[in-house]
Amino acid sequence: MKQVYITSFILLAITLGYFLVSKPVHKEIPKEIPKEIKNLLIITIDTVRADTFYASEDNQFSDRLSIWLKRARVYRNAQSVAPWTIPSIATVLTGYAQNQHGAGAFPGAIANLNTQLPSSVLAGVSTLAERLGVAGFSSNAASAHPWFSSGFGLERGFNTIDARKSRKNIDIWFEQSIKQREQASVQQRNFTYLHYMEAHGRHTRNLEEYFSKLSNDQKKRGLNWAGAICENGLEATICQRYLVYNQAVLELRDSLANVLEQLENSGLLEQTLVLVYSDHGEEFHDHLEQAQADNHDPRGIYGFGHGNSLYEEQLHIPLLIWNPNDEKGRIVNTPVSLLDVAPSILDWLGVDISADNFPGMLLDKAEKETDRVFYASNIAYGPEQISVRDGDEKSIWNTVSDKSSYFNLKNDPDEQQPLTGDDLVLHFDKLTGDYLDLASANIGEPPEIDAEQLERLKSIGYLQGSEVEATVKPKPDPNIDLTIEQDETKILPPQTENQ
Amino acid sequence: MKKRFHINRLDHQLYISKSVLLLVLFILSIGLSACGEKSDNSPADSRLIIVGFDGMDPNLTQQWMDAGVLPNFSKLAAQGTFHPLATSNPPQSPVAWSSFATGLPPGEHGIYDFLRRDADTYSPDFSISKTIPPENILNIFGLNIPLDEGQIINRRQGVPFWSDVESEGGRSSVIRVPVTYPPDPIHRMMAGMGVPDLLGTQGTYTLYTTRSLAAAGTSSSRVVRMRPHRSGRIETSLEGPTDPLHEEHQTLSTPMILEPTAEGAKIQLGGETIELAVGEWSPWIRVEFDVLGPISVTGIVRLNLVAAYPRPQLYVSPINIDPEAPVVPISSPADYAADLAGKIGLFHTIGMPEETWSLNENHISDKTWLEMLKTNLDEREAMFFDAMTKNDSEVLVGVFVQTDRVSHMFYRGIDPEHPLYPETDELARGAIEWIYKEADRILGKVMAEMGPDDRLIVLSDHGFAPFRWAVNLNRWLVDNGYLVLKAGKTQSGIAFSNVDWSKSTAYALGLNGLYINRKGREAHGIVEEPEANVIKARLIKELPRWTFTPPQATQAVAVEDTITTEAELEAEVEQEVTPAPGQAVIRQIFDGDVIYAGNANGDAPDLVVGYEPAFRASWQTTLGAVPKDLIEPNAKKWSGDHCITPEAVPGILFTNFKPEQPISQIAQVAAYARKHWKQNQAKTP
Repeated sequence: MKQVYITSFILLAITLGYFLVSKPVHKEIPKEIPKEIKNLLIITIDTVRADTFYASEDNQFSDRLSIWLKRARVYRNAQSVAPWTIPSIATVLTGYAQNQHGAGAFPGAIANLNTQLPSSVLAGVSTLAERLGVAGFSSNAASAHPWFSSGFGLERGFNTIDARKSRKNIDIWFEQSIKQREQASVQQRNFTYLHYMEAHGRHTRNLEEYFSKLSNDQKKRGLNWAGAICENGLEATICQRYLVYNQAVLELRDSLANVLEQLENSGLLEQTLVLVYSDHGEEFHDHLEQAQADNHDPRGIYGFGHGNSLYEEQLHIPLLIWNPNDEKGRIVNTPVSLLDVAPSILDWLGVDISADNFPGMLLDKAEKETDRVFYASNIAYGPEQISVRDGDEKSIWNTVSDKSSYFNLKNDPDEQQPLTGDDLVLHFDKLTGDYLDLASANIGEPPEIDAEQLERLKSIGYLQGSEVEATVKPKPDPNIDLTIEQDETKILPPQTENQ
Repeated sequence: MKKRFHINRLDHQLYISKSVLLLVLFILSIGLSACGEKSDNSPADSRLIIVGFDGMDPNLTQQWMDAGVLPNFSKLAAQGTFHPLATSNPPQSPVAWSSFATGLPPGEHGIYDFLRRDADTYSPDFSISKTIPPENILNIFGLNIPLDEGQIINRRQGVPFWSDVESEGGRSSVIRVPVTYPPDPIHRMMAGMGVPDLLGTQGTYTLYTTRSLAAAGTSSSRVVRMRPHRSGRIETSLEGPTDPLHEEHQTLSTPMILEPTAEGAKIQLGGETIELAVGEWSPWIRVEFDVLGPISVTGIVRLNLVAAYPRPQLYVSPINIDPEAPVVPISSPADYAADLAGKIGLFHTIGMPEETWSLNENHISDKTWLEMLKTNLDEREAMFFDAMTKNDSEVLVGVFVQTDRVSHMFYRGIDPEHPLYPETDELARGAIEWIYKEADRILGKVMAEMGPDDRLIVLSDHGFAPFRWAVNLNRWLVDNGYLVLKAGKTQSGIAFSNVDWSKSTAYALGLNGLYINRKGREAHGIVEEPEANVIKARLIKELPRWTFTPPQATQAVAVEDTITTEAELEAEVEQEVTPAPGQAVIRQIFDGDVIYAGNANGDAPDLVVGYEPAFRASWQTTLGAVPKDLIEPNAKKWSGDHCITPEAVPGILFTNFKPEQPISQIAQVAAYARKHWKQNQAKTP
C-alpha cells in the first residue's frame, strides 16, 4: 500500500512538473476573417499642426469631417520625424528614417533651404508605390507640392503624377478618378496619393488676400482657438496669419470629408485603406523669445513657419486612419511615429515585410507600446538639431552650438520651462548617440532641376536665394505628366493602366 | 622629426587588425630567449658617455645660454666644444639616429624616412621595424596554433658602434635610443623608437566619450562612445589585440566601469578601482586580455579624466607592453625591463610614448599633455641614471626625446607668425624654454656623476624650424601633370585612392620622399629608366621655382601726411593691394641616386624634398592624399618641425674635451666612439 502511495506521489509530481515547465496551451479562438483591403489612399495635408486640426473636436465645433472622425482611428499624439516636407514624406513613403532614406539633408552642419538644394531619396531605397507596384497595384498621385515632382525620389513608382495647384482641383481629379475606376472593366488594385497645400502658403505669401476674405464668424472662431498666438489682438500680423491658417485647415477638413463621402458613395471605402496625415506642423511665435535669442535661422525669421525648430508645434501632427476592418473608430493617445506608417500599410495590404528591417512599428502594436523613443532631425534652416522624446521627457540638441534643452511634455506641453539635471544630460546624450550611431553616410545627391521646377519651388517660398542655379534636368519620364495646367478649369483626367 | 606615427589613420581597421594579428601571433610563437647577458659588473674606467637631447636646436640653445638659463650647457661649452652638428638628409630622427649609431649614411643603413612606401600597393608602411609572423600555423578545431617562431626585424642595416665595442670586449649600456627595436644583444639596452604598443601600432590611444563622435571631434585614434545609465554608471570595455588563436580573430577586451564622484569619476579597470579628478592622471593600471585558458596578454595603461560628469570623457593611453611581463623583447638582457620596473616602477615601453596626436586633436589639454611628458622624462631620467650609477659600461648612451616633442607641439608659443600663436597662453609660450631647462638640469646631474676620466658628448639629431604652412605636394604634382587622377575625380584620399597609375609618372609619400612611378618597380609603373632621369631632372629644376604668397603678406602701409595728390594716393592704394613677392616653398630637391649611393633595403626615394623653413609636407601628403589646395595654413598644435632642407636644421654638439678630429656631422660620432674604445683598449695593460 505504501508503494502505491509512493508511486502515486511520484506520478503526481511528474504531472505537476510537466504542467509547470510546459507552455500553457491556449485554445485558438476563431477570428473573424478580415476583409480584403484592395486599395490604398494616402492624403497628405501639408503643414497642419495637430492642435489646430483637432481644434474643432476640442471646441465642440462640428463640420463635415466630425462624423467621419468618429469612424476613424485618431492618433492624437502622432509624431513627425522632421519639421519639413522632404525628409518627412520620404519616411512615410519608404518606411525608413532620414539616415536610411537619405532625403532632405544638406551638406555641412548648417542647412539653408533658401540657397541649397536638399538631397533626394537614395537610389536603392524602395518606395511604397514601387513595393505596391510589384504587388499588382496601379499608383496615381495628384500633388500640389512641387517637391513631389522635382526628382527628389518621392515620385518613384507612381504610374501617373498630376501636379495640381488647389484642393478644388485635387478634389475634382479625385472625383474623376473614382468614376473611371467605377467604369473600369477590370478592378486593378490601386494606390492613390493626394497632397494638399492650402495650409502651407496662404498665411505666409498671400496673407492680405486671404485675411480679407475671412468672415466675421471665421475670425471670431479663429480668435477663440488661437490662444496665446492672438494675445495681442487681431491687429497683430501673427494673429492674422493664424486665422488664415486656421481657416485653411478647416477647408482641408472639408476636402477630406468630401473624399471620404465619394469613396463611400462609390462603395470603394469598404475595400480601401485611407490614411490622412500631415508631414509637419507650423509655428506662430510659440517660441519667439527663444528663437530670437538663438538667432539660428539664416533667413532671419524668428519662431515662425516650419523647418527651423523641433518644438512640438512643428512635430506634433494629425494622423487618421480608416481601415475597412475597424468596426468603429477610436482615439489613440499613445504616441506613434510617421515611421510606423509604411510598414503598417504594407502589412494591412498583405505585402510580406518579414524581410524588411523597418525602424518603425506596426500601428496595431504601436498603439499599445508606451516604452518608445522618438527622434526628429533634419532642420531646413539653420544648425542641424536632433530631438529625442522618451515618454514625457524630451530633449532638443543643437549640434553646432552643442547646447541641449530638456522639457517634460506632461507638465509643460508648450515647452516653455526648460529643465536641468545631470540625469537628463546623461540619459539624452545616450539616446542621441544611439540615433547618431545609426546614421551612416547615406545621403542622396540633390537632383538636377530645371528653371520651371525652380520657379515652382520658389512660388511656395523655397530656394529664394540668388545662389540657387537651376541645372538642366535629364529628359523626364514620359510616363509622368509633370505639367501644371495653366487653366485650372481644364482638368487632365487621371490615367490608369486599364485605359 | 618625432611624429607619432598613426598609421591607423590610413586604414584603421585594416592596418590594426593586420598588425595586431602579426604581433600577437609573434607573441605566441617567439621564445623570450635571453639576449646575450653579461654578468661583468666590474667598474668601468674612462667611460664614453653620450647624452642625446632629440631635436635640440643650436640657435635656441645659444639664445638661452646667452640668457643664462642653461648654466650647465654653458659650463660644458667652456670645458670643451659647442657647435652645430650637421644632420642627416632628410633631417628625421630615425634617419639621423641610425647614422649616429652606425656611422653610415642613409644609403647604407637603409632608413630614409619614418615611412617607406610599398611599391606593390603605393601605400605607406612603417620604415623602422618589421614583424614577421610564424610561417607554419596549424589550423585545428577552429584554432590557429603557431608551429614556429616569428621574427621582429630592425630594418636598419649596419653595425652600431656599441655592438662593435662589445664584440671587442667592451660593455655598452644603451638607453632608449631611437631605432633600437628589437634590442641588440649587448650588456644593457632598453629599446626605443620602434617598440609597438599591444595593438601592434606605434601608439593608439583611446578617447571614451558619452557624446556623439561628431561632438567629440574628428579622431585619428580610437574614439569609443559610452552609453551611460541615467545614474551615471557606465559599463564599457577596453579593446586590446585581436584574438590570434580563434579563426574569427575577434578583438580581445577587458571590462571598464565608470561612476560619478563628487570630484570626478571612479573607474574600475583591470581589477583596480581608482578615483580621478578632472585632468588628473592615474597611476599605471595593468590590463589583462584573456586569449584561451591560461593564455593571456597583459599591458599597462594610464588614464586621464578629460571632462567631468555629466559628459565624462576619459583618455586611455596606448596599451604599453608590460615591462614586467613583456610579450615581445624590449630590453637586453630580456629581464632587464622587469628588473628596472622593480626598481623605478612601471614605465612607458612604447617607442614613442609622448602621445602628441592626442594634443594635436585637442583630445587633451596642453597642461595634461605636459604632465604626461614630464612623467616620460622622469622615467627616462631614472633609467639613465640607474645605468650610469651602476658604472659597469665603457660606453653609456641615452637619448631624451622630450626636447623634440615639446618643440613640435609648442613652437606656436615662440613663433609669432604661427596661426595659433595668438591663442597661446603663458604655459604654451614657456614650454620649450622649460624643457631646455630640464635638459640643462639633467646635464648637470650627468656632469656631477661623471668620473674624472670620463668623456662626455651631448648631441641632438637635428634642430627646429617653424611649421606654418602645410604643403600638399601631391596637389602640385597633379596640377603639373605628374600625378593623374581618375576620370571625374578632383581630389584623392590617402594611399592615392583616386589616382590613375596608368597615366602617373611621380608621387610623393612620407615626409620628404618623392618617387618615380617606375616600370618594373612599382606595381603599375609606366616610366622606363631613361625617361625616369628626365622626369627627375625636371622636378629638380621645377619644384624650387614654386613660390607662395601668404594671404596676409599684403603690405598695408599707413597713409602718411606726405600724400597730397590723388596720384600719390592711387600709388599708395596700389601698394596696399600688391602682394609681397612670393616666397620659395622648396629650397632644393636632392637626387636619391646621388645622396643614397647603395640604396640599402631598396627603400630609397628617387628624390628628397628640402622644404624651406616654415613649410613642410602636409599630413595628407605623407599618407599619399591629394587635397584640394596647394598649401594650407597649419592650424594644428604640431607647430614646429625639421623635415625640411637639412642645412636649415642642424643639431648641436657639446663635448667636455677637444676632439682630435672634428665631429661636424652626426654620422661621425660613431667613428669617434669606436676610436675612443680602441684608444682605451690600447691603454689597458
